[in-house]
Amino acid sequence: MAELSLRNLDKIYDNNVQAVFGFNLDVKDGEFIVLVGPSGCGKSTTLRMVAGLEDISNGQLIIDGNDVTRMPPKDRDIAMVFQNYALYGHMSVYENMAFSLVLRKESKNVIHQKVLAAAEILGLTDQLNKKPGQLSGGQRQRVAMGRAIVRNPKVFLFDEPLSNLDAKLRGSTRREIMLLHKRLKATMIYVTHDQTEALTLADRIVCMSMGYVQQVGTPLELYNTPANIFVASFIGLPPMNLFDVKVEDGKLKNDLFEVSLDSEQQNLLKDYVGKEIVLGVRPENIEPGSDVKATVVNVENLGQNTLVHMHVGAKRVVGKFRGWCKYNINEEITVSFNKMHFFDKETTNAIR
Amino acid sequence: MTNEDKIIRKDRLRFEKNKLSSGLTYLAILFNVFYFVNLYAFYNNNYYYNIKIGASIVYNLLFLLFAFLSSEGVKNYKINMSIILIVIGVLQIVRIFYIPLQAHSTMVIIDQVERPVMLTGQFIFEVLCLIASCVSAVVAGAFGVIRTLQLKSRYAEIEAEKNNA
Repeated sequence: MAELSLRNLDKIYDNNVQAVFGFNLDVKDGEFIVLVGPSGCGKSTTLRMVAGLEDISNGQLIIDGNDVTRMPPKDRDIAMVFQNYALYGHMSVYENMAFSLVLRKESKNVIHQKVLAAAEILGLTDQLNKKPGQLSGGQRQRVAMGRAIVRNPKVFLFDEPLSNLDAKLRGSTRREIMLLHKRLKATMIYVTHDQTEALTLADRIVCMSMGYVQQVGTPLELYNTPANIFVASFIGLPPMNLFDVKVEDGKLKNDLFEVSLDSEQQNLLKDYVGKEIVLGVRPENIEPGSDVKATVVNVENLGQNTLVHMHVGAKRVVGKFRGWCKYNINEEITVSFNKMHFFDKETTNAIR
Repeated sequence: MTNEDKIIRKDRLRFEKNKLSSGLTYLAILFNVFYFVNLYAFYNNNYYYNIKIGASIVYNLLFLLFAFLSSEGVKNYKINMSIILIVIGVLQIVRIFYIPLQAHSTMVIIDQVERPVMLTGQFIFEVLCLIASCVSAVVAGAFGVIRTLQLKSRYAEIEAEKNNA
């Protein structure tokens, strides 16, 4: 296993389009890092630069103290699992898993032992004689992972490995990846646009947008203390509700509501008195109360929770209420915010 | 080779095709093709214009058919296909005595010169092709039988281990 250091990585394509800007990250040995962000944010490009599939335009990639920036992919000792599995259809599962070791001219007995061990870990022992075409999507992805495991690489890279699977299979395969990481204690970098995968799998999440790193932190840090409006609205489902408000007289005010601030919050916002800021409230931090008037426009009962879509003035707001709630469409209700996040309106950064 | 290595080697058979036997069978087919292409290659005063020519063509087709089917069967550890390979391999030796030897020991007059229907050089080539084809097929079949029995015993061991567990 290995430590990685990505220092000021830039990716500039031949047509001068820059996909990644100054990416910095230190990955500890055995850490599970998830790169998350919307499509086109540069997360897959970054992963491909680590794998050596894309040239690094500027910056340095260091693995275990060795500069591998210009090293060809085969010499980096990195295994990558792709979204589309990339299995050989004419080979059996056993042959697919053994293939990289055959290319390395390892002894057949060693290959056999490694493949059986990987198959055991992944629950593929009964499938070894089958062709990929005879397997389900989840099994195929496990074969792809098995092919990576047998190589015992320094770093595992996953490029949206669950995107081709249906929701149920995605959940079970996600848990398998989690168990696999615990078992192998391997350094893993995982790319996804699915925040559920990011929050459940990661030791640390790197949230990206437009080629820039927006925040690096544990899932809880990103959820509880988002660095800016982008992270706040990207992490969390449904996304955070955002309001333009003015800080005045110990309160947050706009045309539609006033919310009182406690002394700690007033102290935090003392430099913003008389100025406009952005107030962020997660749907789960909205509860029936007395501060803000809203009109119910839609109700989605999810069993344990109810998503209540409301209009606060012209602003659409989502609340996630506990339990099974019954509201009528167009019913007037009042709600309160039990936890608030504050963002600078100009920089979009969190006010801390 | 340690005992553990032997067990692993045997266990590998569960997931590896018998490519050795399959390859040897293709080699047997190749030598047979060399044999047959050269069999009627030289002018011989119409010596072969009888039932032999048809019989040899039909047998050659049968050999190709069974050898090809066996190459696939033996690759997947089918013991009956291995036995067929051994049989058609042995029959290659029998073929030496059917046309090549008879043609070599029969004299004809061509251009007022008496000579064997099949000259010595051609005869040796044909015999070597058939021997090579025979050896390839018999060895392929023998490996097929041995490996199939090894595989069966391995499955029996696994079954016994499961039952004991």
